[in-house]
Amino acid sequence: MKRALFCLILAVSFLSGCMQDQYAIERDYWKVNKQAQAVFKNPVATPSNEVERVVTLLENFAAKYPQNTLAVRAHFLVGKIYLAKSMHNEAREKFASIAKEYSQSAIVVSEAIFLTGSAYQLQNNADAAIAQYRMIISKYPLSPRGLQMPKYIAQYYASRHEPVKMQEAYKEAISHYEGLANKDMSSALALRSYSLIAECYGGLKDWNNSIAALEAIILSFKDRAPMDGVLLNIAVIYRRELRDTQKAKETLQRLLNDYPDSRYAKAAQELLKR
Amino acid sequence: MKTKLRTVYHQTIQALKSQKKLLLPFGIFAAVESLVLTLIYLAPRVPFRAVLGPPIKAFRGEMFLHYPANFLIIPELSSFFRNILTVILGSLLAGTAAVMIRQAFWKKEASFIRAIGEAGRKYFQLFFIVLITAVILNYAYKGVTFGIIKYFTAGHKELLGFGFAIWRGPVTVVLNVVILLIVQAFFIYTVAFLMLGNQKLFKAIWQSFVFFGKHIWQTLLIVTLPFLFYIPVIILQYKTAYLIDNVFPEVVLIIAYSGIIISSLIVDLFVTMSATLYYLNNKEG
Repeated sequence: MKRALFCLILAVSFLSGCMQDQYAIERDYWKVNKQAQAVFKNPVATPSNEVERVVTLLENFAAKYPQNTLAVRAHFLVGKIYLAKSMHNEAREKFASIAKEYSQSAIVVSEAIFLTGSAYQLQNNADAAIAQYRMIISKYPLSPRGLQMPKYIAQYYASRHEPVKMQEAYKEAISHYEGLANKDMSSALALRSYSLIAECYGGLKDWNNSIAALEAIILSFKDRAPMDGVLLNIAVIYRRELRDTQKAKETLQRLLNDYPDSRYAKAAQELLKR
Repeated sequence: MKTKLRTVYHQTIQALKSQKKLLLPFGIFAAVESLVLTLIYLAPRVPFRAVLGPPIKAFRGEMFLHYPANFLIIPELSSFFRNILTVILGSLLAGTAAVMIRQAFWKKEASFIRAIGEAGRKYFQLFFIVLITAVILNYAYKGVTFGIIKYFTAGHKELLGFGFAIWRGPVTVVLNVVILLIVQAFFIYTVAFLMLGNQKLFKAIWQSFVFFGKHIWQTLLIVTLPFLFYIPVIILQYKTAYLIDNVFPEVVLIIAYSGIIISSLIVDLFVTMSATLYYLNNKEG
């Protein structure tokens, strides 16, 4: 009995502690990430030797599991720690090394370039930051980060209170997204592009064109995906931005007629009552 | 004349001191429950993931097969499996314990084998009693949740000075504990009436209700006092996400194992023994 119990405890300890499966790697990552988060909580007060220690932990983790996706995250955390500590050159070097090491992955490289741009942005070097962002658009336009960048640039100008450049950037973004959508109007990329076009028109406060972009989504994709969320967005724009309650109600009624079981049905009914 | 609770607890301690075998049914249940908890903990790991991973993924989501999110569902899953184990195994062991307690009450040597044989012959009835208790509890818990949600979705902002978050959080936990204790008090003597009083199933249930009606305060104390030891576990399990984030994820597992030890070897042990001894003092003493 005692021997069986001993064997059971040994087996459980072995399985929970020693085996290096994905779960064990996740546990190791959680531990180092926890220490990195402590630096992010108060980067200014964190002494440089503590930063070095955490960076070493993260580098060791990445070196121990080079093939694991969490190794990429560990590398990025190192760069972000440098950013948080305002060590911009070190951060850029780190992101450059990540881009080099994972050059086959558009997602990783575009993220590394984006964070390099962020390092410039934090130094208030807008031109250098924009140059990085434009590099993502030209090299990796279809990566998640690449898709966001045209709109991001416009928003960046908006945050810098440069309305002329912002408007130009939004118009540029719209034509960029239209170009992507026109390649294949029935693709998921076209759906995403039209959503971004609608958001860009929203950024320009051009609500009619924003609605037109959303209607284009409905026209092209209503047979393949539920459009209840899009209809709700249109209704909200009519109501909140254009103050056209009649059109808002018509759109909400359309939502309820076309998608009576929608998760937005209750919200639509509430809005109709107002 | 009603037996004093102090006498019952004294008898419980004395019986446990003189016959360690009385711990066996509760120890077995704790061991099986610990084994199940260990399997839940190991579910995201190779080789258990191949078997336990798909149901967790289907019912709760893929994220709960990763560290540390898997610890978030440990209290819920362990509670779910505890309920199943209680109906399947706990029912048999409760009957076994009742027979062993009577043997000890009459100063005889408690025999686990003989007691489990006797309980086995009435397994169906024992199973049904625990099942019916579990079903009532389940519906009562759902009723509380449904009532609270219905009240607040009707447009009310607060009830008795508390908002929705408080009602859905700590108040629901407290109400569930109160429901558990009341339902348990109603059914607490059913196993004794069935196993020791040789009553038929439904008569045993009815007799338990009647006995509870005659001994309300003593019975409520019998089920409540040992349960007080379990309250820290409930509070800690309610704060699972906080503990994972601020202490370390494995603390959830430590709490779950502690919960098993406290619930099986303190709460269930004392509730079952004191209720059975209270019954024996009043019926056979």
